[in-house]
Amino acid sequence: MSVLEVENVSQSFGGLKVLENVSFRMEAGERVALIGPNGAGKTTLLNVLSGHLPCRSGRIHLLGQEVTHMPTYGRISLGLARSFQINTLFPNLSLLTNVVLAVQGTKPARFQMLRSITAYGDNFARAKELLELVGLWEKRDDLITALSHGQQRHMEILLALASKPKLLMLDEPSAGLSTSETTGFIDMMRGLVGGTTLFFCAHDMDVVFALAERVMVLYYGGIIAQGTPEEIQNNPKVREIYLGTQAENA
Amino acid sequence: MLDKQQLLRFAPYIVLGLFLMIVPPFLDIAVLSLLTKILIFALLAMSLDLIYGYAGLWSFGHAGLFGVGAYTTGILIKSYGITSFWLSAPAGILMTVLVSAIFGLIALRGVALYFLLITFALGQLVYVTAFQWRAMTGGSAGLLGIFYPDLGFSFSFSSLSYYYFTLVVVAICAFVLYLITKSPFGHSLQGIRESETRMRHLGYNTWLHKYIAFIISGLFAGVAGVLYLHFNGIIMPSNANFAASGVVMLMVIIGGSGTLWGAAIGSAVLTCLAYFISIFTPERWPLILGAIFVAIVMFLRGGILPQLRRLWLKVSQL
Repeated sequence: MSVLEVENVSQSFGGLKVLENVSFRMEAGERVALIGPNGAGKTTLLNVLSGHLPCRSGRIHLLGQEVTHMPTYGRISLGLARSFQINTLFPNLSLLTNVVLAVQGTKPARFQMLRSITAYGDNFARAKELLELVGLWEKRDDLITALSHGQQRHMEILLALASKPKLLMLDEPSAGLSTSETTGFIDMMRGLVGGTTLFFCAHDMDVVFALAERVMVLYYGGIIAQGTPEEIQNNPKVREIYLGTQAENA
Repeated sequence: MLDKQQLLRFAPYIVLGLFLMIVPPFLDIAVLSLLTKILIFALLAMSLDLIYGYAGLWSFGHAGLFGVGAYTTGILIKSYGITSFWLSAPAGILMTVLVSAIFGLIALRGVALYFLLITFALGQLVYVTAFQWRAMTGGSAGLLGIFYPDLGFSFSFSSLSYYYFTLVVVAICAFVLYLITKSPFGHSLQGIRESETRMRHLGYNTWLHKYIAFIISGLFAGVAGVLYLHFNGIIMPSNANFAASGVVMLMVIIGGSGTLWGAAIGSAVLTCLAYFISIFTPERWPLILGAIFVAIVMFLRGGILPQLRRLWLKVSQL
């Protein structure tokens, strides 16, 4: 059974076609990177897959179930999780509350009104475990606004991991990090992601080569190439997109 | 057991609680009635804070829901002769819950300012209904001649015993609201305020959370409405209009939104000021209210309660 199956998904904003007949599938345990120049439609594809944008044509199957028109929270409870390119955290809540909210998101406790949130010990234990993974447990009572950008990027991934997803989608996980920060970040990512099925888009080729087994190239809303990182690197069409043709460079 | 540190932390609350329980019998009747009014509006403001401060839903029609509770109970008493408090009050609260459930369906289609505008319009709908439906509501003159509630056994309220009755009801409601804000559900509301997109992507049906919160908030607004009806003896359309909603919103903001108790402080400050200022210059009250609001927004960021807490923390550590 495929973890993710995308058939002929198209999306347009007004007259602008952002995605055109995108189709691909992902098997359990795979780590797939989505690359492409600015404006290729990477984030739009993620938004359609997570239900943040309605899917106007095509079909999406998640873990064997059709989710094309399912609201986001339904897809999450099936086992999907995602992070965002622009930090989408809870800025005025503590780190611990941020993670606890993420942990309880797929549990029935989220509707409990008359018991204190602290009564759910296992949620807190899981939150502690996660915060310790990125070395932020000591800062658990600080607000998100007190963290550096790099630490906020860690939190971004942590919140997505909290529900132990079967498919993890990351949108530009290293966005805004410096080259030196990215090296440490990649090591941490490897540890965090472990054996989780991963679908991520990235600009930074170091991140792509470090994490992906398979790379898909999105260009003007269509997938124009896919293969191992090496194959993609040597693909003339991809080189042309990224580096331009000789005539253009001349 | 409480250690010294905790005792110091809770001292202001304990003192306030003792004051509310012990002092009223020795108070002048005017002050007693002021205190009752503060309690009722504290409940109304706290119920608004649940959606305004915690969930980030800028409801501008809260006095409308308050009015639904008061008018429903009042109409049952005046037009249908249902004098038993045990029937008329729950009916008023139930009607407020039903109206909240309908208003919520409509208002939650919008977010932020659009939500505010829709709740504004819905609140005004209650006001206009109260104003026009003279046969039932008494129109602009209001629904008058309501007495203290009839609890059934041979007991009749005085202004002092009604104060204690209000105190008990408000305390119970405030405690339930407090539990909600500390619960997983209450924290989810804060998450929605901070980032609804993220909450959806963590598996929350954010619409449902907001809808439930809106109805709970309406329920307590209804309780406040019923308490107010019996306290005041009269309910007027102007109790339910946007100006009244605005005052409740100011109570929340001035006291400190998203703190629950702050709303109660806001009620105390605004109700006292309204009372004393209107003794001296009734027509200048709105002007002074505006000036106070500007001053608090500029100098007490986050409202009175967070500033008081900071101050108390400093004092208690000396």
